Amino acid sequence: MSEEEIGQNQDADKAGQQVGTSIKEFGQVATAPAPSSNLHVLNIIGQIEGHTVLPPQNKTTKYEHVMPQLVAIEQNPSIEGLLILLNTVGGDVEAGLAISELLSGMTKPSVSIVLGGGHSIAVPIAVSCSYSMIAPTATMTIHPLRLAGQLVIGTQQTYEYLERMQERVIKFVSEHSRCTPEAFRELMFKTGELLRDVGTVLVGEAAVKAGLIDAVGTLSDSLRKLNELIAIRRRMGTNAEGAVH
Amino acid sequence: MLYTIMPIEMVFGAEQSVGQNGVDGTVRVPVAAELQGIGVLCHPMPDGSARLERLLSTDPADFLRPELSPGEVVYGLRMKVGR
Repeated sequence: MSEEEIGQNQDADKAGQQVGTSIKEFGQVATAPAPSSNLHVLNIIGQIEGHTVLPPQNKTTKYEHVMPQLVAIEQNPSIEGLLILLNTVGGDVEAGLAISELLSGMTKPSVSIVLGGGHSIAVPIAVSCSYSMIAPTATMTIHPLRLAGQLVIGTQQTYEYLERMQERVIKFVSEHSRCTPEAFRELMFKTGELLRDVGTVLVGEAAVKAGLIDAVGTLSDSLRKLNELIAIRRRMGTNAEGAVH
Repeated sequence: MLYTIMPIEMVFGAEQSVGQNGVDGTVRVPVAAELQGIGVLCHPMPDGSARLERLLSTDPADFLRPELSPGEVVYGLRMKVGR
């Protein structure tokens, strides 16, 4: 507890120094200098947009916006932790996996919190962080991949392609959570729970029980966890690569 | 390939409004731009200003700046190439 308090005091000192440097570097004084944060927040919303630009009625998170930001966060010495806010219906498999792989490859601690919904390709993103949380009322839908606009799988090759795309998701999720590939596949193909489809809807605690998410929590819980992970990383030497994970 | 709970017909809906102009002369599809070093999505207006749609920043402090809140009209944007 006392260690945490010391950590927060250090943060306040650091924030003061940063305001000082920005005045020096840019030669201008901000009208209302907001206290700079050692935590950055990445908002992943709507559809995760991949190689195809989606029609404008979709709210989207674009990978070309998110991926360089993750690199910048990893490199910026004044950023010590990353909070991922997830409220997304899914989206492009490769874009989702790309974001997940970047997140899992960061040395800085990251905490994800699923709010509202974290469905389909949001599942690998949620589990890719150092620690994952879900709001008590948030849901995660786990279902098989579908081919856009195709109700019938016509050829063996189509089936195998779909199967291999699905395996990529299952592999990532099982490697970054407590959920085994078998258990995840079972959730994916469960019948009788979804209206038009096969799959499972996990609400809050159920996602934790399934081994996908680490804990049910709120904003303050996720920030507390992130500060805890930052304190551990500081103790182990701030810039040591791969210090936490 | 999409992996989403949204029905495909909702993702690729019939409504196609790309490039159409709204009543106030603004383009309805937000474009990516840079404002004071911060990535934004905005609706450019004919006079060179733009209406902010969304901040792409990861710094939570940027979201507390009233002049950067969604709907604000801003000047001095640097447009990014492409969308």
